[in-house]
Amino acid sequence: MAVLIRHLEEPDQVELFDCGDEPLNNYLRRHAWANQQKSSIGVTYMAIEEGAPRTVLGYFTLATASVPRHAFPKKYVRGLPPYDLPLILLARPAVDRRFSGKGLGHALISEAFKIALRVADDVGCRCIIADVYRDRIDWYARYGFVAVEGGAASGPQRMFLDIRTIRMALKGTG
Amino acid sequence: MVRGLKQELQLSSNTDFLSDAVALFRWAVGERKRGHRIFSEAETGERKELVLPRLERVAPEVALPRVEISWTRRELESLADLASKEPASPTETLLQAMRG
Repeated sequence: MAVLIRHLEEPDQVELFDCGDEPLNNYLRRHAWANQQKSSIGVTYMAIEEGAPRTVLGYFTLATASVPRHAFPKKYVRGLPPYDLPLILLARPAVDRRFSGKGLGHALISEAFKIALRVADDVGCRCIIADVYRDRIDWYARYGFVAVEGGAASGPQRMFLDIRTIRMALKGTG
Repeated sequence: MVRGLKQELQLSSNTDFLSDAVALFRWAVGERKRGHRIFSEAETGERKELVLPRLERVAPEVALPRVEISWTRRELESLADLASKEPASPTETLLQAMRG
């Protein structure tokens, strides 16, 4: 199966997408295109098969954000650069149930890392942040994400991955 | 130059030469269209990126929109701690992801 990952386009068949998680299905069906084109609050990338280029196999959404330096508690800013902290928000990658178990999640997050590096090269970015379902924490940890402590005890876990770690991985160094 | 390349590649006909050249160029255009960058890699791991102005015309621009994220005070402490540390070494899974 030759898989390509590209921007969401209006004619894409999002209605049939089913990853088994209704909020994620609903995001793709109802909000992803509007958020990308009208509101400009997230760009959705989707995995497609070359032979069926409008069928969504999986997707993820990226956006940028930053934390103003003044928002950090004073005693914690010493090790940080004297600027706001730029970051990329990775919304949960989702894979259609019909195509699960084929490594698509790995392909999607790999592409997200490569895009994050390009963004970091172009405009600067210190880390990737993902809000992760608790049963998926181990999957993200395999890529080096670590928990940001101090969030709600239930609900998604916020996780952190340093962009410099990704850059090291691109160079093949450990 | 074309004659020299044909000799190196052991191609006798211009048709074969042109066909291979077009196939290579077509592949490069496809890769840049997907936003992929093209590198050569030496045995030492040293990489050189192919940057050809004509190819860059087809590469998609990466422009991500900006959002606001809410943080608790404890999360900001934790984030500051994580971001001020030396970066961790990549995991094997991350290395695999970036090799692909």
